[in-house]
Amino acid sequence: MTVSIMANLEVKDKMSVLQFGVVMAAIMLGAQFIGLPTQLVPQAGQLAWVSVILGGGLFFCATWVMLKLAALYPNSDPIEYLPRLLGKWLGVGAICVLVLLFLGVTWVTQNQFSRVLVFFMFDRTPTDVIIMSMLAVVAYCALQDLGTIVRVAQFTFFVSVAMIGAIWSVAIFNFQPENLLPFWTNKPIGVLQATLNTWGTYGGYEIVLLLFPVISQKRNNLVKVVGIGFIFITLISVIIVVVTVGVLTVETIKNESYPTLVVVRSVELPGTFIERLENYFLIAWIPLIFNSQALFVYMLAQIMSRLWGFADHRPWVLALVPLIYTGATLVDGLELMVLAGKVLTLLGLVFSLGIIPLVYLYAKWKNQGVTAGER
Amino acid sequence: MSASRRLIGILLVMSITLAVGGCWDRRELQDRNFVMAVAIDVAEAGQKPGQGKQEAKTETFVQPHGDKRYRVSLQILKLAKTGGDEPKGGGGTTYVLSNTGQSLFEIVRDTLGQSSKSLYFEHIQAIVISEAAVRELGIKSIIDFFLRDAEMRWRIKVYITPGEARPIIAYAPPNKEAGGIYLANIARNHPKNIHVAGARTDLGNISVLLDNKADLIIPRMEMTGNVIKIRGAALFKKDKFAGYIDEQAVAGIKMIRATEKSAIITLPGDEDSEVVAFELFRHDTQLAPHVDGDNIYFTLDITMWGNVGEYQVLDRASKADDPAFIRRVEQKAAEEVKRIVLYGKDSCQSLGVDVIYFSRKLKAHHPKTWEKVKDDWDTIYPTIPLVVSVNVVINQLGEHK
Repeated sequence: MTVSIMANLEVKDKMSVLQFGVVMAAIMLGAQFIGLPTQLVPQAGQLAWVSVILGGGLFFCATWVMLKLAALYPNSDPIEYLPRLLGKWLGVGAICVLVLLFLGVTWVTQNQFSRVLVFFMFDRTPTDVIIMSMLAVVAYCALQDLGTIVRVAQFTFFVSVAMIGAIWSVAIFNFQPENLLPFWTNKPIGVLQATLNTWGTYGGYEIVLLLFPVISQKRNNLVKVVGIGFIFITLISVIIVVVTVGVLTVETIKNESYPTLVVVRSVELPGTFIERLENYFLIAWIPLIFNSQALFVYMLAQIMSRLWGFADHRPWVLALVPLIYTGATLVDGLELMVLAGKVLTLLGLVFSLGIIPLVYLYAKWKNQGVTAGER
Repeated sequence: MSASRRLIGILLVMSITLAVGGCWDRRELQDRNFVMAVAIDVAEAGQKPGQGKQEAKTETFVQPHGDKRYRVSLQILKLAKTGGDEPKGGGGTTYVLSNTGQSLFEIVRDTLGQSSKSLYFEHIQAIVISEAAVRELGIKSIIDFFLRDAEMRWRIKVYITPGEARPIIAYAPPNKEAGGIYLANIARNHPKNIHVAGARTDLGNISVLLDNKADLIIPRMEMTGNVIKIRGAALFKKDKFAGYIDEQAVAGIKMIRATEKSAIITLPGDEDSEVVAFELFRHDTQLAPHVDGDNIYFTLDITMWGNVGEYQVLDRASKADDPAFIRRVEQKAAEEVKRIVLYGKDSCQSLGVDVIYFSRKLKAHHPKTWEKVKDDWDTIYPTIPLVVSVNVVINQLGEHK
């Protein structure tokens, strides 16, 4: 294997294949896993884990198509080649879908994050203050160069995942395997519908289109690394869904606002001073949100600066902060949150399973970009 | 700026943000009233000893709609050190405030009118509900408040009492432990006491069962004079109170559900005066549903390993090391376990309450049969037979033979 595991601290605008794998996993494992059982179990019941696996396969395929498309234009990003390929308006339109998608994700995530934190930890702090605090650190991180952001993501990702994994493992005390039975359903269509809903879990892999040109030239392992990233996220998601159903049952998940937190909350460790494990769980969750949000904001700023001909992404980071804050505070209320979730999933599916495969087929047909110079 | 400095900068800013968030919600320990236990009675439950009518009136509030439904009593931790000049009978580490109304939340908030500090539920340990209160409107409407509030714990111990609930939380434990902790710890002893239905009966478990429209078993707590004890359990047909069962039935249910960790099974010895106590160490229990045409039946296979924990014999000519005697004890223990199991099962079936996992097992292992019978389950359930097979192995005689 030729991929270097050690980060090269001198290189600030390039990343190794392995670093890309971590960044992709970090952006995927953001806010959504807290609400994952709520999204899937009402449709798929005790077979929600099947939907997670199917979703992992489906969105890995979508990412694979993105990699194939990006490989046709190895030295340019979609902001350059999409208008060239599809014409100015269609190309910019496709980019706008991606911008809307990322922007929508930041709105919903910030809102959900602030509400959860206020509900469980800071009941007297206004949600706006939580959003502003998080946006401040996210913007500070996104103002840095890519190399710094990647190293922050690497560090916080592993620390958070280790913490969350350790806390989550104690849920095994209340796990009842029988809650996952029967391995049978009279609503198989529900399992398939839930599969599409897993976009909320896997969403974020779209960054492969934008980061492909900055991944170091040794890309022969890229598909493998992306695959491992998907297996990792799928494994985490399956564990979350299986344990949550095993502890709470399908019917209780339908009635709980934050079932994953209740799973952690249901653990009592007699004889220890550690109590209310959900607070520790949330503390470990905060860096994951930070990671994911910093990457989304950085990507958005990069897209906008390229679209508007800026040499530097930083002015756009600062311009995006009030936009994200306003969106996050406006996408409020239970109905609006559900609607926003549905719209985002639809937009994500349209982009990944509709626009990108069509663009790829068109690019192949036109055989554009496959030139010696581009290679 | 070097990359490592930026990294340190980002981590510092992150930690500052967390700290700032905490300051906003800062509440000093001494500014809180910690609620350790809650008692729920019907609104017109008996007055406290020595309480006049006017005092009872002062406790409540003007309610624009509906009747007064519940009396909620809160056991609050005394943070100040209890002095030696404590009035006789009023000692202990807690005191109780009561109030009546319709909405539990409103009652709790109105109780702030009797408290100098805000009420804080993060450390609540036990909820005691009177039978009269659950008979009124079922248990679901009572526990709803406790399930919605993020301050509440999932593992709060819940008890049903046939009498009034308030005197139970007013009880001052002899060991000076906070009353709520004392009450909760009684149920936490369930792994060693087969008479206590303490496994999967906490607030969170009750919530899960209610969500699944399943029947409930909740420990019954009794207070007579200055004696408090968990005796038997209350059974609920879904949300509605169905009746009580005794300790033997609780033991049988625990054996069927395989939630017992230890047990003492007392048996007659060879002579009338002899008594042998078998102590259960470990067991392997399998409850399995079977469908044969239209017939549904269950089998329960139990293997128990344990110890001769006690052997009362008049003369000192102990036979405990006689293999034939041990074999007889094993057989008697197996028969006794079978009797206890069937007694537990019959008690549940006579009340029409399925807390022995029959419906749950059938649904999990025979989903198609369950789909056919689920609408008639209430009629079918009391008639379902259980075939019990018990094997007891004694592998220790104790320190003294």
